[in-house]
Amino acid sequence: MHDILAHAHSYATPTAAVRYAGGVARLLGASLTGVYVTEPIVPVSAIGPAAIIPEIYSDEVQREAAAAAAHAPGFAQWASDSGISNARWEVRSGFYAQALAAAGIWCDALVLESNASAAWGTPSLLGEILISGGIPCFVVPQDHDQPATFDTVVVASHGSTEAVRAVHAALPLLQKAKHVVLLHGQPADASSGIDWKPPFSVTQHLLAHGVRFVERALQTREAAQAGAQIIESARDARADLLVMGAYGRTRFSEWVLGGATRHVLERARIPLFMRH
Amino acid sequence: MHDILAPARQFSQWKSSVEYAARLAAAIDGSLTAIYSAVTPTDVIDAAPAPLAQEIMEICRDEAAAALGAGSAFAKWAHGYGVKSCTWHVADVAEETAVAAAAKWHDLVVLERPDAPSASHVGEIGRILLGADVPCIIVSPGMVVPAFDSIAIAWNGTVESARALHAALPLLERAGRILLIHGEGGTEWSAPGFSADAAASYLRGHRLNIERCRIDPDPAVAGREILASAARHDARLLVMGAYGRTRLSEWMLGGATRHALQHAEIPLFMRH
Repeated sequence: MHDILAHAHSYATPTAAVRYAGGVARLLGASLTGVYVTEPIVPVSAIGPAAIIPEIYSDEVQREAAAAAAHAPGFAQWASDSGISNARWEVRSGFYAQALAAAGIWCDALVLESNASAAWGTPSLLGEILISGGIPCFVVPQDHDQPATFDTVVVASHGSTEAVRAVHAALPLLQKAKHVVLLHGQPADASSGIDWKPPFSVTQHLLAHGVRFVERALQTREAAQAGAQIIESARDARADLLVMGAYGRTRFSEWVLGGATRHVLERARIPLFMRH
Repeated sequence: MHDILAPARQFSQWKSSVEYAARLAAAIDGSLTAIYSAVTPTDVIDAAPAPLAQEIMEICRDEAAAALGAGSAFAKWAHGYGVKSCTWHVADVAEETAVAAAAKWHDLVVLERPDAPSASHVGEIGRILLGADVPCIIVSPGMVVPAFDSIAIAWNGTVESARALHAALPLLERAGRILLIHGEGGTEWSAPGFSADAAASYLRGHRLNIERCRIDPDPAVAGREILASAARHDARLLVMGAYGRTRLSEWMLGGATRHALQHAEIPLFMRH
């Protein structure tokens, strides 16, 4: 991984996501970009002096963007003090998901913070960023203050496309881990329809990249239970990081069916590494 | 950029793009996966009279079995080029489908195009680029030795250029010379937010210095100018974003991309 992007929901002090991203960047020798997003303020009511309202709000947004931009030297100093040699601060305007997806084009991974009571951290938004951004995301729990480590990593996989992409993207992390636990689920969908001889398998892929791991089986076939089991297994293993594919089918159907992804996004108390 | 995928058209010998892929894997200490499509032509079998159908099925079964058995010969061949880790897989679907499926386990695909590719060859490559979401190096038959001492980047300020540039970083880091060919202002070359300066700054952040060359962005000539510029610079690889029109179209690639696929005399590194 060469380039890590962190969403900074506040610019005054380094947020949990920024600090975690700094740790990841340092561990992997990657560059770090901190991004602050000013969302447009959409007036709730159009009643009243409508011509004035957009101007007031857009002045507000511009002031916010300028204040955030002024933080660039502070960020550079913090990064340098933290041992990160290639760091950049950006301010973007737009809605969170689009702005982060655009900023993420140059990057190998986004680092986001989850916070169900903040507009920037709801499971819905995290899901949207995962799907529209198309790049792997670390999700750190609210106010996470542990340094980024990959000593024990749990990988939850049932061989789906998303799981494979998550595992493949996580290889640089898994190669640094001291302990890796592979949680094997039953495939939720039928195979891709291709009869490979020999088959491609997650276990072979890990072994071929020099990742040693132990296997555990997920006991359930039900997506709804899988999320809870994955979290429990990660807790039992004292995992520093949980790797999994996100949103196996359309996000809507996962919502309706209560899939594992949403459960994990809502409940995980450790950092996640996900890919759609 | 560790895992390289090369579709193979034969299973008794490996040439052209597969050889390029092997040498590349050895050069960057990566792994090589070759895949072979052994498809049973069920429509032909269904239409043929019974004895002929039987014969065709037997031939296909023998072929599939022989292809399956080629794994150790392939490993030996690849090790001869210095590839440390390689695998051989046989699929029962068409090559395009197989590549798209296998691509999610890999970082790069090496594809081959004929010397004078037709529209349908270009279309096939376009579909893989647009569908498989993985960078591709496209070579034609004579190109078997990867070289990265001089790399040219065709930059048109689109998201695809940025993705191609980012994906090519491991190769750019090995280059002695990097040329950024850019042209702003044309219709295909409109820049939603990524200037040549942004590209240069990104590369500088990774301690890579570049030379720049400005070209006429007019779509009618951009393709030609890119190739000419790369040739003047002695580039051994050309990095380009591959942009389609919309996904609803017939996988039509943009004009400069098509031109490069049809006329480039060096390998192309492309990403959608």
